[in-house]
Amino acid sequence: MTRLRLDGLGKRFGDVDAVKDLDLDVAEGSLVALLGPSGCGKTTTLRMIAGLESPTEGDILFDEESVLATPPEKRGIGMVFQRYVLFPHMSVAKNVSFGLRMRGVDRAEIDRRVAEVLEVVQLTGFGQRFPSQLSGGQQQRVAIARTVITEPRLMLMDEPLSNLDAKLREEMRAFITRLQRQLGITTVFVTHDQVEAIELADRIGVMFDGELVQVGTPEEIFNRPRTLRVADFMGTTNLIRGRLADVGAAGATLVTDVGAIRVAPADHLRTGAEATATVRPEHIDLLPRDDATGLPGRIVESVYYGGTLAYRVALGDLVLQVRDRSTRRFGDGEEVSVRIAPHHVWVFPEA
Amino acid sequence: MIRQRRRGLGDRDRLGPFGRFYLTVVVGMVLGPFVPLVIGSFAFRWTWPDLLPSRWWWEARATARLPQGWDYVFSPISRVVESTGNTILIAILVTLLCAAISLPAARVLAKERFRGKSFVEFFLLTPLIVPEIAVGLGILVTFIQLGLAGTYWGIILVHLIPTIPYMVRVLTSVFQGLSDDYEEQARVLGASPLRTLWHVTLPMILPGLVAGGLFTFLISSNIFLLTFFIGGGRIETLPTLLFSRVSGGGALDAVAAGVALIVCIPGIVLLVITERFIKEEVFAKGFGG
Ligand SMILES: Nc1ncnc2c1ncn2[C@@H]1O[C@H](COP(=O)(O)OP(=O)(O)OP(=O)(O)O)[C@@H](O)[C@H]1O
Ligand SMILES: [Mg+2]
Repeated sequence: MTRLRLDGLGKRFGDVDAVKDLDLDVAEGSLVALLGPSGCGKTTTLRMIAGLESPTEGDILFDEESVLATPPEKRGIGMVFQRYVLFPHMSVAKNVSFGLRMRGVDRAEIDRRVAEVLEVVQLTGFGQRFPSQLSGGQQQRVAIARTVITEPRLMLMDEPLSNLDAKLREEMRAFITRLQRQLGITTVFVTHDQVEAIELADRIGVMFDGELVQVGTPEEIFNRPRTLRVADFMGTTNLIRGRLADVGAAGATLVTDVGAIRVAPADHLRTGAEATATVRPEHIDLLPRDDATGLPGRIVESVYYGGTLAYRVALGDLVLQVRDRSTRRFGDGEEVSVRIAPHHVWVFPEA
Repeated sequence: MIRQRRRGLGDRDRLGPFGRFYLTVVVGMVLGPFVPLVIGSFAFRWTWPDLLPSRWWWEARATARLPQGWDYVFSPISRVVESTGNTILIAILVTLLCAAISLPAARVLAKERFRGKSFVEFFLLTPLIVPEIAVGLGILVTFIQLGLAGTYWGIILVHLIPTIPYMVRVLTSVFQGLSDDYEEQARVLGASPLRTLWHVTLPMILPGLVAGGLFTFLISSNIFLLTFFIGGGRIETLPTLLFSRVSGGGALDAVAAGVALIVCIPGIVLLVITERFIKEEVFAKGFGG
């Protein structure tokens, strides 16, 4: 098992900063997801780790040893590309055994390990087929088999599931998690899908415009985003502007046009500061109007949405998105009481 | 995509009436010119306005003073066998050298951007623009000084002049269609650059390489003027031999017709081989998918 460390990594293409001053520490055997919108530099970062692109700044260390001078074939890594890139002129078995053949492993051993790994990816009996005779999901599993068979010290995956349909994607996600846990290979997984990142990763690194904005556990990124942009990218849709008051050990109050919202204590809160609070739709509770603990609101619209009810609730001029899992149902136009638990409110001071 | 295409193959030979007519015309136009050659090669006397020879080769065989048609072609004095050997040997070496020179050049032209690239691309085409006779005369002087005139290597070198532009063009477009991903994947899987070339790049560009090689072989085995200048009569290939027969005898006699048919053989054989090869070996395995 290998620890991967990126130290101030940067890459310029002409006058484009594809990756800027990126620090990342990936613990032995863990899976880190690089998450970010298209063009934020995820692939470039992965290619630098693989040795397919040379950084213009910074260092890449495997077990605290710089690999910058090591060519890709000597880094002992495995990489699964965005498109599976199976060699079309080779059978499945030949594709899978490619890495072993390049390492000069003897034939009996190769045959044994190919059979073994094809069983793991549930493609026993497909060895003699050619890639063009496989479905997308099967091709993807061949690509993964081809990578894990060499027992790489580090596995890099570049949106390996983006070409699959939703159901297959879920199966493959579970499959990758199982495989990675079982083999304990340190893995960097690139994706622009936050659900995928949350489900797969031990830790998530969120990237915007070539910069790593926040690194943390899925729970941290999800519930305590560091910037408004991260919050937005992680699917928070409710933004409430206001001014902070009563900052103290017990938390603070955000005074808004629609009323006062209590906020959990945090270091960065300053009395009198303009701030924007974010609340996830599923963290807002709707109660009947006779409950006095919440803010007064009115249901604008309700939609049944896969096991939950999605409401749009108006508080004065402000419209909040609310997801309610309870069985109680409010009708359109009904007056309600809107309650937000302080620890679910995340406040960003105005820049 | 490949699978769908394969499923459609069953319908391939169903031609409409117009398709049939069109095919007949094309085949007629391609094969038509060969008919007089074939008949002529078997003739002893064939004069205008007879539609067929008045006397055939085998009828005159016992009485004729000179060997006729195919007898002559297969006799050592005709130098047909020798020139066929020369033609094939030279064409093979030219093809191999041409591929070896064009591969790296095409790769760079397809994948890299650099200053003066469009000039290099234009420069590579100039041999096709400058008349062969100008090139031949110019080079002959230099080659005489270098002692390359009248040698195999001299001929092989001049044959590279008109063939490299074709090969580079073909391979450049092949490389443009080949995504870098495959080579990068091979490297990541532990293949050195050389083994990547051998195990991944070459097999993947093989159809293009075969097509380019076929062109090169055919061009080389058909070059007359440059071979004539540099070979200087010492090294005879099929085109120069045919020329000497035609210019010597004036009209198309049985011997010239026979030689002319022999000249076609290397190309036809090669075409049949490579056509089968491209279809069965390469496309069967799902190339380009
Ligand atoms: N070879 C290159 N030359 C010039 N610019 C490049 C090159 N490769 C990437 N870039 C630029 O670097 C930036 C980051 O690209 P990258 O491919 O790393 O994005 P990404 O996060 O993987 O995006 P996606 O999710 O769309 O795959 C982009 O602005 C891209 O245009
Ligand atoms: Mg990418």
